[in-house]
This record gives sequence, structure tokens and C-alpha cells, in this order.
Amino acid sequence: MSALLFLILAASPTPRAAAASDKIDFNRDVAPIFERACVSCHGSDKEKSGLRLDNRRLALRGGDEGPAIVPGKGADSLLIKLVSGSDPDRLMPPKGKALSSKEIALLKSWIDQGADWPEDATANAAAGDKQWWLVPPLRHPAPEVADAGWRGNPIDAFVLSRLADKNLSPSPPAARAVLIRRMTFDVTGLPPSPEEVDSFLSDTSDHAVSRLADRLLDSPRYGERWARHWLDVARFTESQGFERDKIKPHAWRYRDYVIDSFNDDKPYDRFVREQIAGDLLPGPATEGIIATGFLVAGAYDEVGLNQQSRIMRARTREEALEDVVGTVGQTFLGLTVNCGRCHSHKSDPISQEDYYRLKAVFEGINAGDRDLLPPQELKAIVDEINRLRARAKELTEERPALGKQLKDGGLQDPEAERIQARLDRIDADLASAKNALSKAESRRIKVFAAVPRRPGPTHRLARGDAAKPRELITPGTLAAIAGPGGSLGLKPDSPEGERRVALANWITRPDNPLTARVIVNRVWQWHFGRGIVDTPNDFGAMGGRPTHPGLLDRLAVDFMTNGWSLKRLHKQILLSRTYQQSSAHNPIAAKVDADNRLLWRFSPRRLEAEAVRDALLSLSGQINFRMGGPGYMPWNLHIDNTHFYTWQDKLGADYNRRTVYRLGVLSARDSLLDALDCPTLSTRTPTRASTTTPIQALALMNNPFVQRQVAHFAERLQATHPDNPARQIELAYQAAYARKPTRAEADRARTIARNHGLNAVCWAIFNSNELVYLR
Amino acid sequence: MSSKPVISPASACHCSRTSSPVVARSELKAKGSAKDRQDACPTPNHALHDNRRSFLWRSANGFGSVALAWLLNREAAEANTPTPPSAHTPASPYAPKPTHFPPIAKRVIHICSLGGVSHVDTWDHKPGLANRHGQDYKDENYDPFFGRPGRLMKSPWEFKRHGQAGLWTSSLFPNLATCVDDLCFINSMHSRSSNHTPATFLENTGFTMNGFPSLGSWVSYGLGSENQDLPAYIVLPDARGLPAGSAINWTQGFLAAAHQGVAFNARGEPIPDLFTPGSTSSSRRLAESDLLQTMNRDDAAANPGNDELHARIRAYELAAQMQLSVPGITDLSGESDATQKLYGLDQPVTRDFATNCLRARRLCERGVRFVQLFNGGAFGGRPRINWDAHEGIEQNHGNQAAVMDKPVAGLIKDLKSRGMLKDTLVLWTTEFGRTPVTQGLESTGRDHHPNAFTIWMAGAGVKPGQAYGASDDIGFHVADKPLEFYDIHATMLHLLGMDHERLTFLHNGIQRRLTNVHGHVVKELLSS
Repeated sequence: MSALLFLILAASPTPRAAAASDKIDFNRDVAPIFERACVSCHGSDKEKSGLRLDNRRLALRGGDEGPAIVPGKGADSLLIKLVSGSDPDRLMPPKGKALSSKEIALLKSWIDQGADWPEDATANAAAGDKQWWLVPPLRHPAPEVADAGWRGNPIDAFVLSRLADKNLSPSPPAARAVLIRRMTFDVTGLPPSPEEVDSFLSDTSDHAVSRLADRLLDSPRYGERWARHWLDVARFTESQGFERDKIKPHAWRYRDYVIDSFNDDKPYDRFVREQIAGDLLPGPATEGIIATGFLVAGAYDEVGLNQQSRIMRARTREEALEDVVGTVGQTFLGLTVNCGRCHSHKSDPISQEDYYRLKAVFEGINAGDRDLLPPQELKAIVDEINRLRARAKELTEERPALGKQLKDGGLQDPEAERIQARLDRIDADLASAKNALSKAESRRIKVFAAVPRRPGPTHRLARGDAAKPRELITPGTLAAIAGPGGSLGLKPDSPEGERRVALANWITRPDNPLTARVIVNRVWQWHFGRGIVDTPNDFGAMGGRPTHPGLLDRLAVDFMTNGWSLKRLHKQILLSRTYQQSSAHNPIAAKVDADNRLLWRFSPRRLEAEAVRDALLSLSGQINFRMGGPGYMPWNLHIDNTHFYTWQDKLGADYNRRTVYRLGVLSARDSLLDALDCPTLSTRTPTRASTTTPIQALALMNNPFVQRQVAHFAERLQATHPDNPARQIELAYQAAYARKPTRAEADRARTIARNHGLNAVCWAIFNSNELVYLR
Repeated sequence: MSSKPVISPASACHCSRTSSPVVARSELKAKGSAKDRQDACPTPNHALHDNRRSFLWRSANGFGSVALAWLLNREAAEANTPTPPSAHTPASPYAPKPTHFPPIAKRVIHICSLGGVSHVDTWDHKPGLANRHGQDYKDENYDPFFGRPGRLMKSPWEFKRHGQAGLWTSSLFPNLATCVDDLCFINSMHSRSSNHTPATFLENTGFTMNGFPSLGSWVSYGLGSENQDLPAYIVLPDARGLPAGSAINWTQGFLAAAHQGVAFNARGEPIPDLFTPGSTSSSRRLAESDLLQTMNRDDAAANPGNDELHARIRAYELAAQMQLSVPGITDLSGESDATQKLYGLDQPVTRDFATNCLRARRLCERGVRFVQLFNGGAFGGRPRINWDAHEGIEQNHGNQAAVMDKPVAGLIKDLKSRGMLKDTLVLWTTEFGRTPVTQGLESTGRDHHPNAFTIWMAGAGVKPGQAYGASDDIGFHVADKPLEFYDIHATMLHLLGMDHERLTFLHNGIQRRLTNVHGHVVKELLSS
């Protein structure tokens, strides 16, 4: 929606005919005319002849033919000449109803009176009244609720109060075995072991759940699980995509940085600042540089950025920067700022200028490998690399002449022998030089991250087209955000680093109304399957409304006042009665709230692809908990300009690591994980889909990886309880479902195991709904 | 794959030792095979003796036979199964969806020729280019992809009028020339990128960037499938190699993964994980499948009110059906000699692409919505395996046309003779054309050319035997009725009964469309 339209919403619906002597009011009299007759071509969508009539500053600046409005001189203004048809070939508007003589007189009077046009800021403020998220969150008191058990945790009070409004009751608590399975998968992405289940069930103290939550949150498995959620949002991709899809060999360090940050409970505001400007902040330099991998974690069009055509290169660069700005805006602010690249946002108070202000912050950012070593150490290694390269070159160049001498023949024996000896020596030296070179190169530690350079000027681009630069832009941010405002105190030519630091600080200011709400909502979604706002990357008008606005605010404020600690927030959620409810269906509640938006139960949901694969590896006993480092690559690589990746069921402990360590290759396919809804890596994915297809069934039925884990699971059961089929079946159920089989289940499974082997039972368990559903 | 189990009805029991490849494989390879044989007849359901069942059993392909036996066993056991959800929910992403208005096309075959096919050497006859052969081309706005522009170069192929419509084609396509009365050429295409991959993304997704849903994914999302046991969107890559960016070209983008194109392998297992592993005996697979469905059914009963649980039970039945039906699609031995020859299966140069074209027809017959054929592979290697004729147009396009001409002509003729062309849209596209000038002064190759090029459509609802729009007299710029892929996509969706402005998906705050904010349905391309 244009700024102008916002004005009109506040103005009277019909233009009033005004006598020339009356003071013309822009909002009341002029704006409706522009909106009806002009803005469809002279707005941010089309900007014909370079002229905009939806924005004060741009309108007064004029278009390709110069100013259209000369304040005080109506008759001389091009606008009046064109609408009045003084040049019949150029009558405006060219299509549709011409302006009436009254309207023309009104426009002329308005210009004669000085073309008084209120500042744009009023437009944004007017829009802001309708946007709940522009108001900073308040620490709302928890509502009074009747049930004393639901008063202790503010989460419960807010939820119960909404349920009571609809005459709904919450569900009873989940069975304890169900709860430990739910919490273990939710926090660590793995099933609880039978021992862990037993120990929890036998802990009858009031603090059992609290102790369980602490144990799970302290486990390094927590960071691996929750990093995967974040990597979805960060569109983390370890290959370039586009034509060649080359691997970005040093990108994995960002993945490890995210895992460590979650495990260390790094304050979220610091986590945000590091990912935008970590290379410039005080603190460990290496970690800060790695963190900026976030900015460039998406696809990378190597061919496009290096093509011959300057304008096509510039267009590719604009696409890359849109990816950066879009990701920053959606991830931290929950706003689709990227809509502003081509035109002002249609429904949120985000102008095209806002987009280019933010783009200017990142104007100096390229994607690439960055050295992580301290300068002195780096210099020593680079010197050694250069020396070895020179040596290898020397040796290589010496070889052909000697070879030729030998081949031409006619040499005396000793001479031939001498040359042969020399050749052998060269080969040996060359091999050792190359060996040393690759060792030296591997010591040169790098990361794929943001590589800063001196930024050029940023211009607003008409329709987002690099071939159509308009006015110069000063780095800044969203003007509509009332608390901090949109200025970062920068100049158009401020140094690169200052820009990102200023933005990072702006995003994490406590009076920024969005940052805390957005992350609290994400954490809520990853625990419950759905956010309080169900569009976590879009809090704007196109997105969902909060189901529990007071709760969202309360959690956001508590989060900030408690050091932006994610683990504290997790625990607050895990210990709530809301979270611990049973997931059982209730037909009466379902009639009122089929989607369970009010949380009358815990919504059951299917595990994500990674959790399914990790669970299979965990049950089979094959899982390798080695953390960090380059990812495993379950594909064979074949290079023919494009890098092609063919899946193979590779054997060995390296390939049994948790799925978060799988190399993130954009074009590579993995039938099991794809079928379980692994998203397109380069796409920002705040919420995973959960589909059910025959292809998914086939993957779990027949995939060789699954088959192997089935066999290992059976071996493990047999090794634990040799010659005791009953105990084997019992253990299978305990490990997979955190419960013992019923008598009938045990009998049925034993019959199948007796006739077809234990593998058949393990296969059925791996394919079963009970395994892959979180309840 | 074509061998059929030879079993007499009397012995048609899933536990018997038949010549079914599944059993044969397991007996040869599986460690537990001795035990499997020993306990070969465990269940009470083993007697599949009635005539209908034995007929189905015999007709089943070897790999699917276990699946079939299991499905037949389920029939009785599941007579009281609750009806699976049919609404278009994540739990059943392929369920048919209503269209916006009555469709003319029920399905699409998209042939995507990679590398950039020269319009001035194929379908866009330019006598003006021949007249100016060897002259310099002066245009200060011209922005070549590689190097400096060379001189204007006439086509080495002769153009003639064909068909009742008298449309021009070059001698590169002697077989397609006999189909022109069924084709609708668009000679006024232009694109936004001169770089292969962004241009190909634009052609296939409407965006020049990675990660937007492809045409087939949108169609799958918008229409679902006519056939619940096959994906709505199937891709047949060129046997010579995958396209640049491989599976990114058939990505579902932000749509659910179920709408991702499923690529059929040219050889071996047509889709991953289709076949029951050799180490699993047929008797074991039957028993474990039964156990699974019983467990799932009990679980669904204990957890009422969750449609997804039922959908997942149903998915295993559909998977078994897929095990039966997919090998049948890829097995072309049942096609007559005449049909095989029509496509060029009898010739080495055309055999692979002919196989894909014939598979495309068979997939359409089984209700697949969108079949995408790639003609050409990636950009490495020499000689090139796509149309990217930088070095020499004559050799490159000569080789590529020899691969494409007969199979595609065969497909059109076959669809027509079976009455399928009236409700099947055939779309032939390429990411851009090639320059009317040589690439540099020395070569006889042509550079990338997004400014003007040709594509064609045929079949359902398309006005046949016409050439729409025009390039200028040397084929450099569009001279009349310019179109972009947005317009082609909008028109394709229109033929499928969908309004391109209403087929949307809300993703991160934007109601995404295949056509972004562009596109018009081009009425002049439509027959009515």
C-alpha cells in the first residue's frame, strides 16, 4: 500500500470542490485525485518517466523531465499542463477518465498555495496504529484464573484464561512415560533410553520434571537439535546452488558456531549481534568472524557474479543482497522487508526507501572464504605456501627438457643414468612438495563468511532494477519502528563496519518492539509445533495475529530482563502445565477449536526428518556422537562443470553422525530425508511442512540405510537378551516407544519374530506411526 | 524386468518358491534364507487360490509381486477401514483439488531443451539474415554474454514451408516438420538473463533465483493427482546427464516436499527405494507389512481424531501399489514394434530420448499431471551434451536435433492417434535463443541470446498450425507481440483450469505466485 493510500484512509472519502481562495488540504482534496488518476503509473510499482506522486519528497523532486510541481506556480507546473491537455498528445492520465475542470482547478490552487504536502512520517504513523507489533511489549500481569495449579507459571494463567473464555478446559497431564519421550525428542531430538525412562518414572519428587529439563538442556545434544531449527531459518547451505553447486568447504564452521551458541546459552542479543557484525565486536575475533557466515549462508551464484556483462553482474549482486536483507529482516524482525526492493510494502509500513537503507548497511558485504588465523601465524603459512608453490613450479618446469633428452636417445650410459636419476629425484621432490603444500593449506584455517570491502554508494533502484538507479540513500533502517526510529546516525559514505555495528545494536535495543517477540515466538513454535503468531517470519499484516498477545509480550519482556537466556525460556515452557498436558483428542474441545490454537491439549506431531534418522541410529546403537568439524557426505561426487551428487549408503562411523552434520548440498537428494520433508536448503524455512506420501512409506520400507539400522537394532536386542525372545521384544518397545508392549502386542511380535526373524519386528517398529509421532 | 513369474494358479501362494526375482534374489543373497525357506508358510492367509487373484498375481511384475500379494491379503482384513481423508491436507497432498474453471488440459508434458536452442536455425525463418550474411552488426546497446560480437551468420540449414498451415521449419527437424499443423510456434519470446542457470530457473520457476517452486510443483500443489499411487510431478532426465543444478530444477521450493519432482532413473530402479531389498524374503515382507498395519491400526484406534495416522496407513498401501505400477510404466516391451519405431527406439541415436518420450506418454495415461523431459545435460565435457553451441552451430545443433527430432515427433503423433493430444498440453521450451551473429570473429558458433527466441506449444486448447509474434528481420529483437515465460506460465495454468493470479501460496509474508507479479493469459494462443 502506498504512503498516499494511508493518508487517504484518514481523509474524507470524496474530494470536496474547493474555491480557489480556500486553503487546499492535501489529504482531503489532493490525495484522492492522485490516488485515482496518477499513482497506478507514478507510484513505486511503475514510476513512469521517473515520476512519483505517492511520496512528498520524490514528487517535489520530479521525474525525467524535471520538476512536475513548482510550488507557488500552478500554471507553470508541468503537472497542470499535462492534466489540462495543453499538449493534446500528452494528456494525463493517458487512459481512463480525464480530470474534471474542478479537479484541475483544485490541483492548480494547491500548487499556487505552495503545494503543501505533509511529511511522509505521518503516513507511517497512521499505518502504525493498525500494527500491533509496532508497540513495544509490556509486562502484562498474568490473568486471574480459578485453578490454583495454573497460577504458578504465567504461561498457564494466560492459556487457561483464554480457554475459560471459550468454556474450554485444559487436558489432564500426560502420562509420565509419554512426557519424558516428548521432552527428550523435543529438547535433544533423540528418544530417551529405557534406563532414562525408568529413572524418571521412579523419581517421585516434585522436582522430577525440573531435573529432567535441566539434564536435557545441559546435554550437548540440545545444541545439535536446536541449531538445526536455527539453520532452517538462516537458510544454511553448504554448496553454491545455481549452475555449478560447488561445495563451500569452510561453511561448516558457522553450523558449529550455532550449535555451540545454543549449548553455551549465549545471550540471544549477543547471538544476534555476532551474526550481523561479529567480526567487528569486542570478544573472540575468530568466533565473531564465523558468526557472520549467517549473512551469506544461502546460495551463491558464482557464474552470475563473474559474468562479462556489467549490468547482468549488477543484477546478480542485487539478488544476492536481497537475500541478505530479506534474511536479516525476517529472521530478527519477523518482517518481510525484502518486499520493499521493488515497491513500498503493500500491507506493512515498510517503504522502498527502508529497504534500500537496510541494503546500504550491507552494501560492502561479499560472500567468500576468510582467514581465521592471527596475522603473524597466517603470514608464516602463506609464505610457506608460496615457497612450496614456487618450488613445485620449478620442478615441473625442469622435467620436460630432461625427459626429452632421455627419449631422444643417443646418450652415453652414464649420462642417461644421471638424467634418469635426476628425473626420479624430481618426481620424489615434487611429490613431497605437493604433500607439504596440501598440509600447509590445510593449516590455513578459513571460514565461509561475510567478506567486507569498502562499500560504493547505494541508490534506490526503480522497480529494484540495477539499471535504474535513483536518489542516493543513507544507511539506516525501518522508519516506522517507533521506539528506536529508522536512523542509525550514519552518512551515505559511512565506513562499512560502522554500518553493521549500528544495525546490530539497533536490532538488539530493548525498546525494539520486534526482536524479543520474534525469538520467543520461534522458541514457542519449536516446542508446541505452532507459534503464538503462526507466521514466525512475518509479523506484518499478511501474517497471523497472536493467539495470546499478552502472553507473547510477557514472555518477551521476561526474556529480555533475564539476560536474553534461551535455556531459561525453554525451562519456563517445559515446566508449564500447558506443555505437560496430554495430547489426547477431545471431541468437544475440537468442535470449538479444531486446530488447538488455544492449547486445550498438546498437539501431536510427526518428527522431523533429522529426528527420525537420528532416532533410528540411536535405536540401532550405531549413532556416532562425534561433534563438530566438516560434515559427512553421503553422496558420490562427479564433476562435469556442475557438481553432481549421487546418494550412496556409505558405511562407517563417519556416516552415522547426527543428521545436523550432514553436508548441506542444495542439489543433492536423499530419498529418506527428502520424503520426510527436509526443506529446500536455500529457502528460509521458519516452519517445516509435514506430509504423508507413498514415497515416504517406500523410503522407510526399503531404503538401504533403514534396512541396515533395522538389522543393527535386532542384533542389539539379541545381544542384550540372548536367547530370551520375550525380553528382546520388551526392550524393543521400551527403546522405541518408552513403554512396554501389551500382552497381545508381545505375543503378536513374538510370533512374527519366531517365523521371520526379529528383523521383521524391528522393521515394523521403524515404520510405525507410534515411532515417528511425538505425543 | 520384463520376465514374468511363471506360476500355476494352484501354486500361486506368496510363500511358495517361485521364480519371482524377489525370492530369487533373497535366496541367493540373504543370510537368513535357509530359515526363511524352512518357515516358508507361516500365515493363515497364504492361499491365494481364487482365479482373479491368480490372474493378478501372474500379471504382476516380479518386483511388485510381494506388494500385490500383500494388497490382496489386506482386502479382506480391511473391509472396515475408515475412509482415508480426501481433503487436500498435508496428510494427503496428492488429493485432487477443484480447478478455478473447467480445464481443457488435464496434464502437461514439458520438454525442456537445455543450453539455448538457436531460433534462427530451427523455427524462425530469417531470409534477412541470409541477405546480410557476413556483415558487421552494430548496436551500442548489445551486451554479449561472451567476448565481442562477430558478424551476422545465416543458418547453414535450409528452411521450407510445411503442412497445410505452411509454417517454416529448417531441415534440422524432418520429422517435426510433419507435425507443424499441430504446433503453435511463439517467435517473440524474450528473457531476463543471458546466463544459463538463472534463465533456466526463470523458464521453469518464474524466478531467476534458486529455490522457487518449479512448474510441475505448482501444478501438483494446485491440482493434485488423478492417481493417488503416483506423484503428480515426474521428471525424466536426459540419459546423457543431469541438467546443471540437477535437482534444483525440479525443486518444490517453499511448497511441501511432496510436490517435489520425482526423477525417474534411466536405468535400474526407476525411483529410489522402490524395490523390496533382496535381503528381505517375500514371506518376511508380507508378514512384517501385516504386523505394521495391525500395529498402526491399533495405534490409530487408541489415538482417535488424528487423520494423519490414517493417511499414513493408507500411504503404505499406496506404496505397495506403486511398487506394482511403476515397473509397468518403465517396461516398454508391451509397446508394439510400430510404436517403438515411431519414437525411434530402434535407432541408437534416438533410443534413450525415445524411451523417455514413450515413458512420458505412459505416465500420462496413468494420471500423472506433469511430466517434465529434459533434453540435454549440463555444460561440462566435449562434445557438448546440450544445445550450447558456442563453438560451431552446425555440428552442435545437428547432433542435438538428431536426438530430439524423431522422439518428439513420435510423441506428438502417438498422443494424437490415441486421442490424448486433445487434453494433453505439450510444451517445448528452451531458456533462450542464440545470437544471429557469430561469437567473435573467428568462430561459427553462436552466443546466448535472450532478446528474441522461439518456443512452441501443442495439444489441449492450443490453436494449432500458427506462428505467433515475430522477431525482427535478422532475429535479433522481438518485433511483434513480445512474450515472456510469465505469459507462457499464465497460459499453461489457464489451460489447466487455473487462474495464475489465484494459484497462490503464502510464504514468509508474500502470496507467492508462479508468475510473480507478471503474466497474461495469451488468448491468441488458444483455440477457443
